[in-house]
Amino acid sequence: MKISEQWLREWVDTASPIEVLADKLTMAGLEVDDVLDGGPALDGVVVGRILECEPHPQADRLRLCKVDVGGASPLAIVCGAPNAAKGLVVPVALVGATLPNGTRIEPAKIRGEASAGMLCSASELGLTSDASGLWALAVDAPVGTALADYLGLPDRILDIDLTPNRGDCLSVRGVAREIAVAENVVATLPVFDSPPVSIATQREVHIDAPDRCAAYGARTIENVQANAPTPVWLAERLRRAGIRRISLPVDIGNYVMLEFGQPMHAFDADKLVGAIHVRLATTGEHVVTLDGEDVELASDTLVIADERGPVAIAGMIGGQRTAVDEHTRNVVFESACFTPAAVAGQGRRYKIHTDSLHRFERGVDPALYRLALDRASQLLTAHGGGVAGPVSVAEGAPVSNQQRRIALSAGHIERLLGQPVETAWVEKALQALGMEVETEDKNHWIVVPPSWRYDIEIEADLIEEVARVYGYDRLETNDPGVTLPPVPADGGFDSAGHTAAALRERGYSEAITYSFVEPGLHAELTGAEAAVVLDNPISDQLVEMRRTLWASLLPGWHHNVRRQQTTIRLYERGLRFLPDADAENGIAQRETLAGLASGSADDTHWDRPLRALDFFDIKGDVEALFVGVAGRLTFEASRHPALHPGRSAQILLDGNVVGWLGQLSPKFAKRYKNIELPYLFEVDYRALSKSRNIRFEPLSEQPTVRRDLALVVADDVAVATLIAAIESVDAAELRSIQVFDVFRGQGLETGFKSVALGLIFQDKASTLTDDRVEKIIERVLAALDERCDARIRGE
Amino acid sequence: MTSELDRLREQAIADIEASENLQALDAHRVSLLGKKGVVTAQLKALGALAPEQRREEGARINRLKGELAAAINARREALEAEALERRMAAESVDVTLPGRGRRPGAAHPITLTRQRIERLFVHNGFEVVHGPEIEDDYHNFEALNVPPDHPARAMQDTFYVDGARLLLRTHTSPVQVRTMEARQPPIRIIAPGRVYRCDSDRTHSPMFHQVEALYVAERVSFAQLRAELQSFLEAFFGTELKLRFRPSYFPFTEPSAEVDIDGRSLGTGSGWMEVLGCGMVHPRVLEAAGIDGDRYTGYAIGMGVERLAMLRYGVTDLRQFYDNDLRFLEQFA
Repeated sequence: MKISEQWLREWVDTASPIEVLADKLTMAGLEVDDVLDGGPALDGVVVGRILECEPHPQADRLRLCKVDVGGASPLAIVCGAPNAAKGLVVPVALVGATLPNGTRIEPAKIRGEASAGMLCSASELGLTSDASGLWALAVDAPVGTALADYLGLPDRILDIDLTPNRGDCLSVRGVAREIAVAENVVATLPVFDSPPVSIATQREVHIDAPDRCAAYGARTIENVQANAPTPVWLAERLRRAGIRRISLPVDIGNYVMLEFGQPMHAFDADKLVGAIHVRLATTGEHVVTLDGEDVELASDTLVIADERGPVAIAGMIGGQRTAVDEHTRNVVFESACFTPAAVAGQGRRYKIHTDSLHRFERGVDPALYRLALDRASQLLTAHGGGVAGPVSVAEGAPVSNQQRRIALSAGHIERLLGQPVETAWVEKALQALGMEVETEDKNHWIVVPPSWRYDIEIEADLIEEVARVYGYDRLETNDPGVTLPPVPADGGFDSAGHTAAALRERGYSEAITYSFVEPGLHAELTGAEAAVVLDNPISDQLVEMRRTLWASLLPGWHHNVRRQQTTIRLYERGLRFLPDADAENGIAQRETLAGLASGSADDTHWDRPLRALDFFDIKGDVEALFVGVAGRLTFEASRHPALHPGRSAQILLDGNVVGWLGQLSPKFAKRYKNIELPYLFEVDYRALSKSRNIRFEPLSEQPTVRRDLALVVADDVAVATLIAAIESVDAAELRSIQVFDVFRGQGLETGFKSVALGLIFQDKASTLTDDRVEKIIERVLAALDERCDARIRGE
Repeated sequence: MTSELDRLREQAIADIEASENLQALDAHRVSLLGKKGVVTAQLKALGALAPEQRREEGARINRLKGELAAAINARREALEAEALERRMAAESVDVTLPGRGRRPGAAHPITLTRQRIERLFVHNGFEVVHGPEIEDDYHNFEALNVPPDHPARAMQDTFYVDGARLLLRTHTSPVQVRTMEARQPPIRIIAPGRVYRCDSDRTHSPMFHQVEALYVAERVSFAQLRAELQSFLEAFFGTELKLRFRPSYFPFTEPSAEVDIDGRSLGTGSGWMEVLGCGMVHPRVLEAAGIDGDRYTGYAIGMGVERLAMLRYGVTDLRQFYDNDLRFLEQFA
């Protein structure tokens, strides 16, 4: 919210400079974002009156003006504005002035005619965006006066970022109250006389939904000149608050809202038909708002209605049918207290946000509406003429949280803040905030918050007020220490990053990508399995919650490919989201580790040729992840919609699928044109989180014996099958098996391959004899022959 | 006789010293001291002399034999040392050529920052707890004293899922709620993780990271909160800091504060920099989770990991964290 310094100082008398006040407000919880200038420097710009206005002899659209700027003789100024006319009072930039946009005013000849100055629009002066023509000042504006003096500049503007609990500070009155407390002075209300009741006209008002409207006041003012100009001081205060001028009655309503925090509405009395009712809309009712929007109303929306139907959405926006316009003669001012609950959610529903709604959502002081009605009536009768009728009032139920009596104890203050606060000081501080403080005993009070403080509901709220006024920075800092049983340092989900460290050592860098992904790629990768979809995505690229981390890692990979990176290794840790009726809220959220790699197997080196990485590089990376993990790791050829069918595998731990590994399917070649497709892996994080139990095995001094077998088998026999066959003989002496060569081609029948295996034997207790080894080998060969149709090469 | 031996010694020493390699040296050794060598022959010839002469001459020949053996050994060692030198010279490498192997990758700066935060809190007795990212309204809002249509909801633009049945958590506070529902105080946890808000520009990302801390026990006070944060932030930035606790508003804490660091403490210029929010847990939040607010109080802290990472590493554009450009990432190795 933006507030003029001048205006504030009318309310609080303090000598502190604005920077000090801004700092105090910030430290009281009203964060001042900025202290702005109230307007541009307007040196050399004065109020002038156009005495004569003749056509330019050489140019159709230019006029020759004689302008009185208070000097001995009028100035000749050439002007191109369409509204230049005799008698108009306008800002005049004199020769030597520099406009806010940098234009320097020099004596000039325009199409042969001398021009000694410039008549200005509000936009040229940097005040508003109105560039439609010359800024027509009030006819009685003092000619020759510096425009800055006339406008009341310079001024400063406090730009305050208010938190949602402090709706009471959405006004000069509210901010002045806070400054008064901080400066230890008393804020003073502006003095004005309520206009006399001089006509009998009175609008009947009824509240049909009393729990949603605490009070409704209306007052008729007749014989108004709605097109009378808004006084310059009032218009300037609106401008400095960032509010656009509309018409005198509407401007006055906005002014009173800024002044007191009470939103107002002005109806054209002649367009209102019959009594005003505050009621819920009936299904199917419509209202055309002041913005010209035809809104169909929901049945829980509070409206203001006359006999013909809704004329406003309560607290939000007025309707076109009863709007004030330049022909309006008779005005009905509305000043009401709609409850926060009555307007809650309505702005989002209709996508309408107004200054009025902003205040009602946060709570408007229920004790304010009469004062505001008087103020608006006084301003309108003073500046727009007219005579006021009596006030009509209807009252609903009191706002629910206004019956508050809150117990406060000194002990609780000390407990929560960690230090005692002197009781006399507490009482004074609360009273300065407008609270009634009843003393129960020395250390206990009953506190009644003022009507404007909707946010004070419980004792903790009062303690915050005490702390806030005391000053957070004056409060003590002390930590008596914490005694809690120690917790395991492992934070789950690899907080310390040990698992990922294995990948980093192997050249992978960590990526963090969005959890929401593009539906097209997502569907291709998952085979169009059901995904969790956002209702309100931020772009059409970020719509579905990923079922696989690949859906967001691949765009990250592509980003790097397009930036000439030749070798790319990325990994990510994050959740996958799988619709699952058995999971909480119907969505399984799985901790997952995924990675991808493309390019060379090794870094460029001066004595080694580069080798493109392949399946077995990334398989080695996956195997490295499982070092130290409990369970038996195996791989099984299997198909996945994202992966090359001949280069993809399920990752199994103790026979359970815990992940996938393989090269991105060639069907993606179209999407990633002319790029070597990356290899991918994805592992369920939980599979990695259970560490192997380490049990030491005594070392054996017995020698090991190695036997190499060169086997020939059909091409489609997996090496894992050969190994399983060998292991099936169940020889305790067989310690390990190494695959040391796989060969196809010369010397072998087509459709066959040679696999060379090294078998390592050891008996822990005694030396193995060749004889025993040979016997095991015989059994091994028999098993290989039987299970895999494998034979020794060359036999 | 004597002069003959002298000549022999002279010649033999010259031959030994002139040996160019071990083979030549060995040939000399054989020709001098071998079974058929000249010195050996001299010894054999002693038998023909008179006993008196034999002893004297024998001593001289043996002395010569010792001298020659020593000379041969010295020459051998010299030749061996030379050979080793030559071999080593031939084996030398250009030590300035690049080493072999794969350059390790880097952890993401957000991870590095999160881990740093976690370590400091874990050191102070906090336990790391995780929770779901797709949440229900109750855990994300209602249990945190943010009823439907509360104006505070506008502070956090929310992504909704499944016709607003669920949402993407806007903060990690639901983890606090879930923890308090499951255990009784003392509770001392931090909840790190991804959070989501429907907002995107140079200073807002639709996804970012938070770490929240919660401590609920008997007599937990605002003074403790201040002490905890002072020590945490000073440890995090590794320097003494001037902090400012500024009253603010969060629906789930009362009193609430935002914490600013004096830019001069970090050498980033004058002016206060907002770093995090905190406060005393709102009694309604305790109550909703089934914790006795008359007996227990607590504090909560919430910080943006990106914010701290930007301050720590000098990253100025938030979006760079999610481009995953290797040129960016590898700077953090």
